Amino acid sequence: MSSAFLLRFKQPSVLPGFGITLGYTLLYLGLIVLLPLGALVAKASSIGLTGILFAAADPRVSAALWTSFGVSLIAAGVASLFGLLVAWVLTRYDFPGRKIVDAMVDLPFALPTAVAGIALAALYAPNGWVGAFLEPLGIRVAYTPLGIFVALVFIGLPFAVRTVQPLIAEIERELEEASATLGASRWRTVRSVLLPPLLPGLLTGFALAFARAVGEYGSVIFIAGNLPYVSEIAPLLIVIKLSEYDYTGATVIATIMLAISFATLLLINLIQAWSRRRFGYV
Amino acid sequence: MSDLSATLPLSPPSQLSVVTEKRLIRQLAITVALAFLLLFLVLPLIVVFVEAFKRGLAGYFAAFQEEDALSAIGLTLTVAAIAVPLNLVFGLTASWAIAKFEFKGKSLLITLIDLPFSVSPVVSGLIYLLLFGAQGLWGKWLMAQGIQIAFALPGIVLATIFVTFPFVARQLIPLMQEQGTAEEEAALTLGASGWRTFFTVTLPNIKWGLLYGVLLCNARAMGEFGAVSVVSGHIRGLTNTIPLHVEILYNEYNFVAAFAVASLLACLALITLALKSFLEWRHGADLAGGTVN
Amino acid sequence: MAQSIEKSQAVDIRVAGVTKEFGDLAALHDVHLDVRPGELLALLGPSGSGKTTLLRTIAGLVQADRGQVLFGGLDATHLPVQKRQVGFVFQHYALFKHMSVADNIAYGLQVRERAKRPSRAEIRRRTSELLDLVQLSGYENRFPAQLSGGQRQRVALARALAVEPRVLLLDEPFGALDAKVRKDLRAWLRDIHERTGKTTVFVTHDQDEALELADRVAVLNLGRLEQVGTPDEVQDQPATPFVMTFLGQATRFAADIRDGKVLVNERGVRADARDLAAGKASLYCRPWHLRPTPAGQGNFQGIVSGTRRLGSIRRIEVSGDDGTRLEVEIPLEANLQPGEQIGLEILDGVVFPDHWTPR
Repeated sequence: MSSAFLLRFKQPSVLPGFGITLGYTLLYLGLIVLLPLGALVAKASSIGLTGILFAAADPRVSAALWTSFGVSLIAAGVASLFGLLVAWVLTRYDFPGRKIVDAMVDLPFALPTAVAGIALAALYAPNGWVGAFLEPLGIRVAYTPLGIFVALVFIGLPFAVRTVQPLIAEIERELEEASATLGASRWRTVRSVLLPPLLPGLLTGFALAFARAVGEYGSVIFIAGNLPYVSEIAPLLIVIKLSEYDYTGATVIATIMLAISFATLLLINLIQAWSRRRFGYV
Repeated sequence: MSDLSATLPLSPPSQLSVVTEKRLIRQLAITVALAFLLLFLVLPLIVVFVEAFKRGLAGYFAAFQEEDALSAIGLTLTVAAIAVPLNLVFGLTASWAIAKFEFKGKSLLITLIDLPFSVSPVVSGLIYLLLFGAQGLWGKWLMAQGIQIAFALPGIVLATIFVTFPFVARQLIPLMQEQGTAEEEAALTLGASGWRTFFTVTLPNIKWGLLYGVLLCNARAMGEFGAVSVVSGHIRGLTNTIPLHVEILYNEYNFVAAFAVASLLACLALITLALKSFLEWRHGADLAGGTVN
Repeated sequence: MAQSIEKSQAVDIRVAGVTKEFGDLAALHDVHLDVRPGELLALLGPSGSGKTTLLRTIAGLVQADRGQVLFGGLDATHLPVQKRQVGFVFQHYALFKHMSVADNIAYGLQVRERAKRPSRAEIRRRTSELLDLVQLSGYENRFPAQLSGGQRQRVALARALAVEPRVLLLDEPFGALDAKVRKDLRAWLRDIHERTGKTTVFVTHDQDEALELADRVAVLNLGRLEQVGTPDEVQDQPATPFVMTFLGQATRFAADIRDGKVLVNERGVRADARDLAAGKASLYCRPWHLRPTPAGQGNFQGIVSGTRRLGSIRRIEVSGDDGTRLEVEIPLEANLQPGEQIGLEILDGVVFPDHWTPR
């Protein structure tokens, strides 16, 4: 690397170790992340767009994709809504055990998905603690799409809470006081002054929860029942295809899922950029 | 007044205001939020332990007498012992390069490091099969050489490294960026070597953030299910990690044993959460810049 | 100028015996204050003096433990903040970041219940009038993030005025601005006040700001009202030692009062003894109340320890024989060198009896 090139590429610094640390970073990133993902891209392009669309048109595949994306959307929405409520309550109100509850919100991050999966299945099974209450009402959670929904809300909740929580904490007290002195009712203040600045964060949390939910596997498969065309999710279908050594079929589903989750991430970045440009905050 | 003073810990007490929700609304909101969390977070956690001890202590410990359970625990510890240090070293080098220097393409690099977070666990396993599996890119060649990666320890380790790849780096980059380079430059002008500067100046500044990242990385490494499930081949006693063993036991309707083994992972999660809360409480400022993962 | 911004009937504010405690801390102690209709009054005091709490109590943002707040004879003590019709300008402006400048200003009108809400056209007309008043026409569609500090301050004022408040309350209106902008905005605020004629109360810790801007100044300390008066009154006839020291540099001398005369070091001073009873007292002097004399003469003996030129005068520092240090202002031509032994004659000052208790 000539020094002239290095100058243009990197600003001068007296600190040592740039070459070696960046080199190792790129090497490790390349081997662990980019090379395997490249294999997926290579495989997908060997199948071709028409091949992918054709495979996706398979009724079982498209049913699984619809189930995954549909339930994920609803679950991310519900998680965002309750996430907002939980974040609000945790930041603005005091009650005994608030700190513990706050720590518990991260449980879905920390609890292995398989453990969450069997626990939710046991809880919402017709003879489970919660399922037993719902059964007489004619509501069946376990082994139905509703079970997928429950698992995905569980998985998505911390994303929703943790993205809006710092925003709620940052709300200046003066803002709501200003609104009150201008004659606004409390509900009006909440609606017009306090909630709108949370919207970008809420959308980000929703998108993160959605992206995570679409790919979720461990916590879903135990409670979903995995009935083809009904409660079979796309990641499970990948596993099934792989166990049948159908790498092509698995790659097709994976490619579609990846495309959509990257599109979601792009959307998040666009939302944040727009918000920063317009309002000066994220 | 007492319940008012408790709201909004951020505002100084002297700025107490009469502006807040009505008491009834506050209590309603708290009740709904707590009921929701009880239903979705607390009960699942409790049910693990209740089911695990359904047949008493003896039934609980019987689950760990089995050969397969012990080998699953051994394999999980081995995988974590390889994957976590590797990602730790990567996290340190990546954050040093990214946080302490200005260069082109930095934000692209950060995006790429975050990539594994947005990949489904199952897809994370799949991509390694596409490389090393029997029908994968290098599968035939590897088979000819007698090297087993897929459905063996190396594959499990690789998939685990992939899914836990960003944890340490992600924790350290914002933290190190915030601390800037002034202290390191000062140390260098005082004649310290690069290594010495790193160990005596940089590392003490980031140690809590580092520990935090390692903690999260380890919890995920030991608990990863989807990716490992795909690359392991579920070979009993050989390529079963703890989460996979839980799945097998559960599918065999051996619920007590399944929940007993699962309770190990639940305890790991609780310890992780407790340590995390403790770190945030004691060293909150030193973890600053840490974001949701 | 259109109807809405023209001088409206100004009302007086009466604060009667307001007490407010936060925990054990008395933030306000039995404060009585009358603000006259149309007056521009400054609440002046150091931090922790309770000035902001008093302003917030008037606004209804803080509920007093005891006492009353009245607007034009109307008891507003138990009126919630939403119904008090006060215009409040916050220290950090508290503009709604997600709303444009026009939406910020119109907010107070938009949130009214339908029956009392002006028509959309009327709201637009009022908004543009107010933008005109605060010299921000053309900024309607900007967002607060795109404005400078001074511009945000002016939007905040326009927003407060939009609801036609009974009174205007400003918390440290220039606190967050740099020195240059502060100066400009002072004159401008005075001008707005004259044009709207609203009874206005503003909080400040800066005595120059209070003295320059206000019709009257209310000085607070430790939750108590020390004095209310015109800038001249509080400067020339400070009611308490605190007011004397807070409004400018003051030097304290131990004094005796005997036969209606003030004595420092047994030499008479021309200060007004104010019918104080004989006994120990304190005499507070401004730097210009002291005049250097040859050593051995005057009320006070010391050595010149430093001199500084301040524009058209010179300020010298004198270390007294008793260990005190004080500053004296002398004409430029008086040539005193450090190390010189001099005396000081006290020309004037304000005397307070010792063991003085607040009224």
